[in-house]
Amino acid sequence: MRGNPLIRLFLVVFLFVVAAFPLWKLTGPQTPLPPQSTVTVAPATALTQLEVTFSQPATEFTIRHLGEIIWKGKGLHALAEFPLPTQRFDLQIEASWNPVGEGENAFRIRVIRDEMPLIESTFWAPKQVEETLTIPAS
Amino acid sequence: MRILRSILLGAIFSLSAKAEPLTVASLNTVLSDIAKNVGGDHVCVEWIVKPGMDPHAFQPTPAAIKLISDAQIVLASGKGLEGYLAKLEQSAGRGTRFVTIGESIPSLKLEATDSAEHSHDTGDSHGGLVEDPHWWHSVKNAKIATRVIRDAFIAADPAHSETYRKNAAEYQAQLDALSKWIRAQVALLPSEQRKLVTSHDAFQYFARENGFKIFAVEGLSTADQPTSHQVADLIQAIRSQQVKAVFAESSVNPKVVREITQETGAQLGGELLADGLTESATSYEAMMKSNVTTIVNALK
Repeated sequence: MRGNPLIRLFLVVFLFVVAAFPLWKLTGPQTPLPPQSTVTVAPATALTQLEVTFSQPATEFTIRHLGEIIWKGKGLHALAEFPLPTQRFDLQIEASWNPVGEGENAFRIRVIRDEMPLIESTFWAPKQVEETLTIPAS
Repeated sequence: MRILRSILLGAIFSLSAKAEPLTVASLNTVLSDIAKNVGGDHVCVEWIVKPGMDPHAFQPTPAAIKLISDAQIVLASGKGLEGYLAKLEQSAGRGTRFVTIGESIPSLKLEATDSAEHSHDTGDSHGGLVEDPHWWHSVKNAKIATRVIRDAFIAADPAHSETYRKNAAEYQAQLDALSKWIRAQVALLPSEQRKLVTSHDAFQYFARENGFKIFAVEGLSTADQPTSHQVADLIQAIRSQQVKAVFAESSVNPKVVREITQETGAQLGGELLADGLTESATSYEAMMKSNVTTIVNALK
């Protein structure tokens, strides 16, 4: 028996409509998940000594960690203590001198933790030093 | 009078012959840039692989093979990047000297995916390890490349050795300044945020030098495809390590990276230039600065 064409058309459209929603759910774009709750664990730090020594008194020196100035001073020698990461970290160091003659000036920095030197470096320049020092994990 | 004229003509001919620049064909855009800087006016560099081309997928056309055969020096990256290199060396004439820069650079060896082993035909893949060919992401390696290119130019054209030495020294000073700039930029990121999720595994040399951990979607070659299991593992790692951003690459379809950002909620950090220069970054320095700026801005 062949049914009424209008009823058959209605049935086909009905089936398409019923199937459309699950198909759309399966193949459609997924809504992005909200960012994970950021329970950020503060990185472990430990008190760390920085010791700076200059061949000629520096008119100014600055030490930055993560872009922030943590220490600023002048003179021939200085020592201070800061909480710094136990993981690898970088210090940006700058120093300037009033140039005397043609010679170069030296800037020596020691990074000490638990009375053990983590790193010791010397930089030379006639007027200004700008360097990045990488301190290994301790 | 006739003798004098022939002496003059001979002198003019020999001078014009000497003025011909050294012809160099380069199979890598970074090497083309270094060669241009070291060679200056005394070298004509043919960029066989042009900015924006994917060197993993590149195959030389007959026109490119002709240019290579006519060149006095061919610069290749090596470490398996140019799978066609051995055949090219066979087909080139005896007057062409091949300089494979990667042979002078210490290799990073990584675990191979199946397709990586196939796509890096000439790479060392013993014991499931392949050489990472992306050495140019370390400025130290770019300095080695500069030295090797300088020496190749001096050997081929000793008349201009002083110029090549001077140009190379100037370029190495530029690279020192670039290295200093990169270290100062990367210093703004704490070590726990130095996690780089990239399309393909091209940044291991950069990571080693700057203290990053790499999570790559694909293997060493842009031809590698991740399995659904690998993608699921990566999504899990990104969530557990709280990675802030995922990076697309200029030479790789960003579809998978977009899907990962949707799944994890990490930001799309921007596009990295993994495989050499592009139309927007037309020098090595511009490429490195673009990558470092993109990475630091996204992970800060």
